[in-house]
Amino acid sequence: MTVSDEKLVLACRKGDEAAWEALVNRYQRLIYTIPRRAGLDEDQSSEIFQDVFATLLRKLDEIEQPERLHAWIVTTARRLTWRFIKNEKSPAKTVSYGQDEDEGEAVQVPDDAPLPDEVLLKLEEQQKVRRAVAALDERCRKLIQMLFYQPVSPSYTEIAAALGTTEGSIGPTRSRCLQKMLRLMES
Amino acid sequence: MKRYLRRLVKVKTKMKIQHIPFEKLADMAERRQSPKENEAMHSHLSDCQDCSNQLAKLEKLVNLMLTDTAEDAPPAVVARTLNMFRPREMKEEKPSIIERVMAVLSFDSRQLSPAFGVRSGQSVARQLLFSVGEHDLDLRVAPDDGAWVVSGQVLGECENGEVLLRGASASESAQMNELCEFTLPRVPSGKYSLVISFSNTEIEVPEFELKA
Repeated sequence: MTVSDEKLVLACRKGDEAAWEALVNRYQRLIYTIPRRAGLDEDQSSEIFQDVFATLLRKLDEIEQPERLHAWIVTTARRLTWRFIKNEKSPAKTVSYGQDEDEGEAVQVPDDAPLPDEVLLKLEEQQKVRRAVAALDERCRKLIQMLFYQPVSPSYTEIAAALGTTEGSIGPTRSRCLQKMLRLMES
Repeated sequence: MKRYLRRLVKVKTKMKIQHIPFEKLADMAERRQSPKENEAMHSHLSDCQDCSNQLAKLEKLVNLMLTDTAEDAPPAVVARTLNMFRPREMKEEKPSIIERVMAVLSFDSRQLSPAFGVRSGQSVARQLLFSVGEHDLDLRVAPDDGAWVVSGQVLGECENGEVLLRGASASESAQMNELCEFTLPRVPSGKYSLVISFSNTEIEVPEFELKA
């Protein structure tokens, strides 16, 4: 059973370093991927990453709803990414008005949506799925990771060999694990 | 008799409905079914909301996993982030040493002497800047319908900052916001001292007079 965000925040407030490590590990992928998806390179995304966690550390005592930490983190990462882009590079798009493109006057329009909502929503949903995977028992976790998180999914034969089980058991085990995940995500 | 027959039809109808086993739905979500198996299942799915919903959930779950291209942050960056955290001292367990500093006036919009006073008749806020070690204090004093409003901002870190304005005729306090700004409630004319507290620091502004 994974510890809730709320419990981790409260533990961090009491100086629990292990709780901080758990929080960082839980959200590192999501926080790093948000600026990357917005077009920032690795160094820039690393900067945003550290800024988000530095802000979290600074505001730890002020977060009024620790159980909504996920929303706070996503909002902060998004805001810092947007601010970075706006300050650093944001090349303006030019738009022409008028019936004929040649006649229209070019107007500078700032890019104000570096990360579309649907992309962010998908990132958040994938984060929830990863948390469900992390909450599985070891056997299920390994199976799910091999089936769905590899660039090329291995065959049932290869999976059975890796897990030390029979090929015939992979299907039913997979079903059991997926059912668990659906239950975890609905709870 | 009719009621009995109706009940019998319902029971028989229920017995006919056999949902698609979860494992088969998972195969379908992962596209592991043969076209023939798919066709047979689609026929049931078109009539069964439960199986349809279950399949939709599985397909979404599988798709989210298969298309997950989120990146891990570089290990060195994660390590630096972990090191940001320093175990805290519980405030009620250990007393802290409070540094008390006297603010030094460095600028006055009306170029007053150190023993300053603020007179009414001014229509705009007066600005006073104080230097206090690593911080600066931007203090504004404005007349307000026969009374005075004292506001300002600490320039620098000011975690959990509080401001206390103490005088013979009135005392007021205020919390600083996240930008280290504060605005005190109106106070009558009189002599006041101002104390600003944050972290382990207390800044004292020399006594001043607000007078009409």
